[in-house]
Amino acid sequence: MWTFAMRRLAWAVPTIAIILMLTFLLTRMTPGDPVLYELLRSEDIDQPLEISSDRYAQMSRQLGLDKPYFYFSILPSNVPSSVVTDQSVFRSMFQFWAERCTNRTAAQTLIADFHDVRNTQSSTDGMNMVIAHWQAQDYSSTQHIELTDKERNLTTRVREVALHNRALLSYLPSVRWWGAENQFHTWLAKAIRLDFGKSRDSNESAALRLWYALRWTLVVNVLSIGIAYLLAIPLGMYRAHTRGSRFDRWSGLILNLLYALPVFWLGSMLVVFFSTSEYGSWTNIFPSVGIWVSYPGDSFMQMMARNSGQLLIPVITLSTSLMAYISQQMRASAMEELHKTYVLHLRAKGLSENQVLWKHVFRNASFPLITMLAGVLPATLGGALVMEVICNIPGMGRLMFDSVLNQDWNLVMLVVLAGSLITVLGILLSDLAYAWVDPRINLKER
Amino acid sequence: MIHLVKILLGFYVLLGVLAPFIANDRPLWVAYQDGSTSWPLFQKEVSSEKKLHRVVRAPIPFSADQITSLKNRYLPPFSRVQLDDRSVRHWLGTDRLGRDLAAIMVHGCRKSLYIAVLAMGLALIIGTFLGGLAGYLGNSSRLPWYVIVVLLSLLTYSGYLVFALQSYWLALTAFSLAMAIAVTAGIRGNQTGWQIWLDAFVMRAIEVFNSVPLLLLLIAASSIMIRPSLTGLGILIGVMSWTRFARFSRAEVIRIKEQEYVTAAQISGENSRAILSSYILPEAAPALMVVFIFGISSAILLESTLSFLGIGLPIDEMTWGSVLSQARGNIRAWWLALFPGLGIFFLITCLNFLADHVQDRLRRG
Repeated sequence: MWTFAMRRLAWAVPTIAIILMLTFLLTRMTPGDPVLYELLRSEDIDQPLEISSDRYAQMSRQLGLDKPYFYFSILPSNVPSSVVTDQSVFRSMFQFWAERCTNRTAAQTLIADFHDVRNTQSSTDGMNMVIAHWQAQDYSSTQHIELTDKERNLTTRVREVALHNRALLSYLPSVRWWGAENQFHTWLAKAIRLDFGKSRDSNESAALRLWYALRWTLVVNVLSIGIAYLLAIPLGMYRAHTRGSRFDRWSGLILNLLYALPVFWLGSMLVVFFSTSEYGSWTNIFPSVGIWVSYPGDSFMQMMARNSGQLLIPVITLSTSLMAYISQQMRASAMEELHKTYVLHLRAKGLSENQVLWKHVFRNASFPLITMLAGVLPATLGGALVMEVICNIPGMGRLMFDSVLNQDWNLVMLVVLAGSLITVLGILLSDLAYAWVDPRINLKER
Repeated sequence: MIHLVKILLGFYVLLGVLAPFIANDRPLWVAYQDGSTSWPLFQKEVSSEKKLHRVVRAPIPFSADQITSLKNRYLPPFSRVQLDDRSVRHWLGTDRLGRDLAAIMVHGCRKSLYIAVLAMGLALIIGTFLGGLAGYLGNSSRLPWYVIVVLLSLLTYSGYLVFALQSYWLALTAFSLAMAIAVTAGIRGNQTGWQIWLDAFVMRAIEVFNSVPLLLLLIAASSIMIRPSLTGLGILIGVMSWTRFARFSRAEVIRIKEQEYVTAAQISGENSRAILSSYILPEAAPALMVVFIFGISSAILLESTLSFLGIGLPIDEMTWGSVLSQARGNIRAWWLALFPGLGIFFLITCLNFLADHVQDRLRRG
């Protein structure tokens, strides 16, 4: 069993590494320039064009964004390497031009000339206007702007290139190796030392923000899973016991319907109809969503005690749909046990029906419930995400949602890491639990 | 019961297919006073000079994205409004910008079904292909080294085409070429060459994909889609959910492979492709259909959850999920919470019932 666990854990490492790499690359491909964001935030500059190249390069070094993204890059072969290492606001523009140049040298000269015009001549207003057009990928309406000869020359060349179709050479990829000096490696090296960087806007560390959020998610999940099991086990057992009865049939139908109820719909309905007195005086059952009472210096427990009403809707919603699923499973596995001969033997022995059900049948029928417990955890995590957004609970789902919208990539990476760790551990635990409950399972064969 | 389910599902499909005829701000058919007629529905421009004689309109005379007037925001169901010179009803009320909820519901049905069928079709193809091949070939198949090199480079190249050049059709061509080579070469069963650990590889890949926190990754992935669109979201969901088909078809193929009639076919000298396509696949197909129907229902759920969160689709693309999320902004607008939710709920319930029904039929034989 231990060798099995170790082997699975060893396999989890490349799995999580792949997920992290994927997320990292996805986050870097997002539109939006983090260096520019930081510059516009920290200084009183309104226009990207007012930023000098030196200031930009300095800031990107400071943020560690001056390096390539990954250990290697696969770029069209007519795109010069300088596009990857170039430190200016115009990088995406350069790539667009380079893919249309017939070769690498032509692209390089074009980019060098661009820098030349912009830096040494300290661009005229006309040139700034042209560049603003280019950034919007508009290359045809720049002809009538007044420019110096050198600028005019450059503009003509750029227009020729940009209005061209993609050069054939760009369909030929070329692999460029960057070595360990890249952004992913830097992140990974820090992450191994458990340093996950800072969150973008608040200056708190990402790990701390994750921990604050994780507490809420755990509370919601543990409560709803616990309640779901507490309700589902007796219900499932009773239905198996009275199978075929009217109660069994009707509750079966209702549970099926409850199971198909989208979590976010049930949540929204509760919020809309039962959190105000809009629809009659009795409908104001739950407290208004998103109104948190807190005093400075509150500990987590105090905070939770003050706002426990806020957890009602998410817990009720999540445990309803979970309960429907679990009790169906419980009924199915109890039915299977009830058909076995040992039950007949127990009854013949004169045991009361309660003893037969709870002492013997339940014990055997609970195997799938135990495995489900670990499988349910990642699933509820997804449901909790939606509920957190609906009910404004500062949990992990809310954190992920907000951090993606804020492009707070340090936080996103950490949340994805935590999410996949929980999923992998959940699957592993469910396998181990299965072997622990049922010794006939041979893990070595798996 | 099952008849009711089938009728409801048929209703949904009809609604989806005929959406432009059911809810549209343009008239379906127009007769002018000079005797000429036209079908404005299929034309870009409607001539406004001619005098109209008779007009046939869609039952819901609104489009899903049509904002008639900002005065009409949050109108309750059955409200009557003046549109041009006609008086029309918003049967299900209006949303935050005064769009007609009934029209949004009809078009939302079309969008949901489109995404779900696209996603599950893709997942079915990838999953059955990989899972079936893994189950049939196991770990023992061999391929000449040059075939492996060609395969790997084609696959890498299609990735390059997608991520570096965004030319999706070329990428699809390269990918299909690779798949075709893999099937032709793999099934022929070479005795020489490098051993392919296909089964082990597919099982690992399934494990990797299953430990992805799906919703989290979808949020990360869909927030960066350069031009979010229905098709893009469908492909994304499809690529992420192939594992359910792969696991299932692998198990099915392994089970069927051991059957005597397959052995008989092998002994009588049928080639592997014929065995796979005419002995194994038809046997596995009904069971795969159950997975497919369940898959459709979970794809619809996933899509509506994502659009509820406002992720993965353009902002002006109104779906059931996105209109439902507006109810949070205005608690008084109960119709925005009730009707789209009912739409999703009944569709998912019907699909689950249908899948259960098919499964029961299969089990009974």
